[in-house]
Order: sequence, then structure tokens, then C-alpha cells
Amino acid sequence: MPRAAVIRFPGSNCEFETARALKNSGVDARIYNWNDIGKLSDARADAYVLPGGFSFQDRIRAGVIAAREEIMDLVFEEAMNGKPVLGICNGAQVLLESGLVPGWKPGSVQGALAGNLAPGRSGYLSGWIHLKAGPDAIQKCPWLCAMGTDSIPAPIAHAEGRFVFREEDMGKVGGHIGLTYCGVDGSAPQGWPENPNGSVLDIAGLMNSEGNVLAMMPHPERSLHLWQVPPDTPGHWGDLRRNSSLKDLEENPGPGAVIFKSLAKHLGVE
Amino acid sequence: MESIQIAVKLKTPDPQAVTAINTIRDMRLQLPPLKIHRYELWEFEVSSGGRETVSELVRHFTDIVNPNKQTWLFPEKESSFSEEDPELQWVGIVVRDHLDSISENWTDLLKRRGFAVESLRYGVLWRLGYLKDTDEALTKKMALDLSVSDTRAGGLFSNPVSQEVSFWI
Repeated sequence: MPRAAVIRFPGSNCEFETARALKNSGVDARIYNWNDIGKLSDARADAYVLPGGFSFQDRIRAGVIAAREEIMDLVFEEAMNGKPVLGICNGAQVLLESGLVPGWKPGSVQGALAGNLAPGRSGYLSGWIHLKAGPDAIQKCPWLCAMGTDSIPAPIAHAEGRFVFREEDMGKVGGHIGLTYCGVDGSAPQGWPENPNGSVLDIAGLMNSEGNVLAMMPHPERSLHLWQVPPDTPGHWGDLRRNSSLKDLEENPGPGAVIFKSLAKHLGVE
Repeated sequence: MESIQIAVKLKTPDPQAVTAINTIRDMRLQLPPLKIHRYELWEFEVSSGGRETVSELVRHFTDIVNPNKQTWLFPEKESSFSEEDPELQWVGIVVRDHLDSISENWTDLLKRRGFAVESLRYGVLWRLGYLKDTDEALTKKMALDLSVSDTRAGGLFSNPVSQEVSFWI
């Protein structure tokens, strides 16, 4: 069975559900502390996940302290060797501060997850949005290869989730789009709240050039089961949620499961 | 129009400053800052009333200064930071977001509430204390290098893609 490593920094708080999501998809998952460098190195995992939370209490800037930890040298090396790496929310912030995404020059910080920009609001926001895979992402990204072209609902919870790039780099960004925010029907978002944070090009998830590293702000591990979808969600998933029996709710996967099933598919899990 | 700054500081040691000094220690720089203080820096463009307008809104909004846990001052010159170690040479670095919803939303709020504030800008002021006998130009260059995260092992205080840094004067 392929193995994934979930890396826990001080302040991570989504490691258990992330590991459970991987296991549910047929990928063995183990949680490693940020200072378990020797153990992680010996484990030679097939994939790495940086879970959500508030690593190092978001001190100075979200993700910046975790990005400097020695364990990230190993993740960096494995990413460069083509291993799948996923950063969810705070994990995504760590990947951007590490220079792994967009990764035009790996190790250089070439993108940012800046503070949310929404009319009349600032700071932390949480809610459900819809997202869909970017044009090349299904072919290119091991975390999205089982995703269809339809939109899926997903929860978000962040204060700094707005993808931004330097003006001169904007022309290169298109090929790195893993996930975008969208309307329920997959249409382009009409501003807030469909694009909840003002992210450029409506980006919700960003890949490196090779596609093996994905930094995404929504939390797929929090929509692993159908019962986790709010009953008032519009569209297909909402209908499914409303029309399901209690037994179906308990047994059927939620929209976020596809991210982890994609990895399982990529790693050859039947 | 008058530009007035206030610097807001925790009464207790600031955990972010503690983390910053510990992280910098791990960077093994030749001449690292020996002490770091962190302030929230609010810059108000005031149309009338000057300091009294700013004092009034500070008293009114505990989101700007929470008197239970924070102190504040009008920083005008280096000697304004009287609590800092005089044996060190201090450099002030201001970090601000290029696009900042905190500033925009506070500006709207203060205008709606009738305060004589045309705009405001929020930022973080990092005060870095270096050995006193270090060359001043070199100290400023080191502080600036330390402030911009071009690479994950490089500077610390700002992401150059979304933030700007400047010296506090």
C-alpha cells in the first residue's frame, strides 16, 4: 500500500482528518512532527501533505516560519524528485513561502497568499464556496486526476488566502492554475462571495510547473463525507445531501474525497 | 491635512518578536539584531483636530488599541521609543500590504462615524536593535536584507510579492 506523510507543525490542527482522508482512499498515512526529520527521511513516503491550521501561530506571516524548518528541506527535495506534495490552507501558505509553488525558480518566493480582500470585510472568513479544476490540472496534477469537469462545494476558513503575483509574472500564471473558485454551475465567479478573498484569476489552488505540488486554500478533508455538506448547499451536491437517507449520509463520500482519491489513483490503488 | 502616526505595542513581550529573534538566531548571521520590538503602526491623514482627533478615536475603538493589553505612543523621532535599550543602534522597518483591506475598511468606518480622518494606512513596525558601534549604513542594509523574503532561507518580515518595506523615520 502506498504511504503518505502528513507533516504536523506546532499549530497545525487538521492533521488527523487529513490522515483519515488519505486512509479512506486506500493510501496509508502517518503523521510526522516537524522535528521527526530522521523518521520521515527513513520512511521515504510516496506523497507528502502539509495540513491546515496555524503553524507557529501564524507569527510574522502565515507559513513563513514553517517554511524555514529543516523538515521542509526534505519536502523540497522530494517535490523536486516529482513526489506529490499537497498543502491545504496553512499548508498552502507554507508551500508559497517555501518557493515550491509556483516554482518558476524553486526556492524563490514568487507568489503570495495575501490578506483577504472583500468589500466591507477584512480578516478571517469561513464558509462554503464552489470550485473546479483548472484547464490543464486534471491531466497534470496527481491531486486532481480523478476530478471531473463539474464544480464541487468545499469549505474555506482563512484570513490570508488571496493568491497574488508580480505584474510581470501574470502571463505565466495560467499554466499553474490547479483550482478556481466558480459559481454553482461552474461559471466564472461574479466577484464576492463566489471568489471569497479577491484571489487573482479566481485561483483557489496553484500548482508548480510539473503539477506534482498543489497549494490549495479550500479544505477537502472537511468535506470528506456527504453528511458534512450543508443541507442548504445549492446544486448537485446539495440535492444529493437533501435527498439522502441517514444511512447514505453516513456511507457516501463527500465532494472533498476526490482530492485524496486522485492521489490513490495516481499511486495505482485499485 | 496632517499625517499622524501611532505605534501600538503589547504590554507583555510580543510573541511575534520573540519568534523573530529566535528565527534570526537560527539563520546564523554575522551581525544579527540583538533585540527586536514589534509595533502596529497606524498612519492617519487627519483633516482637522490633529493629535486630539487621533487620541479620541484611539479611546473610542478598542480594536485599534486595547488598553487592557496594549500601550501606544505618537512616534515622532527615535527618542519616542524611550523603553528601548539605549546601548543599541535601532533601525525601524515598516511592512505594509500593497492592497490592504484593513486600511480600506477602517477608513470607511471612521468616515461614516464622522471622524476627521481622510484615510489611514495600517502596517507593522519592526524595530531592530544592532550593536551600537556598527556602521550605520551597513546596519540599515542588513536590516533591509533581513526584511525581504526573496527566498525561503532569506529575509523574514515581508513577502515582496504582496508587501512593501520602508525605513521608519
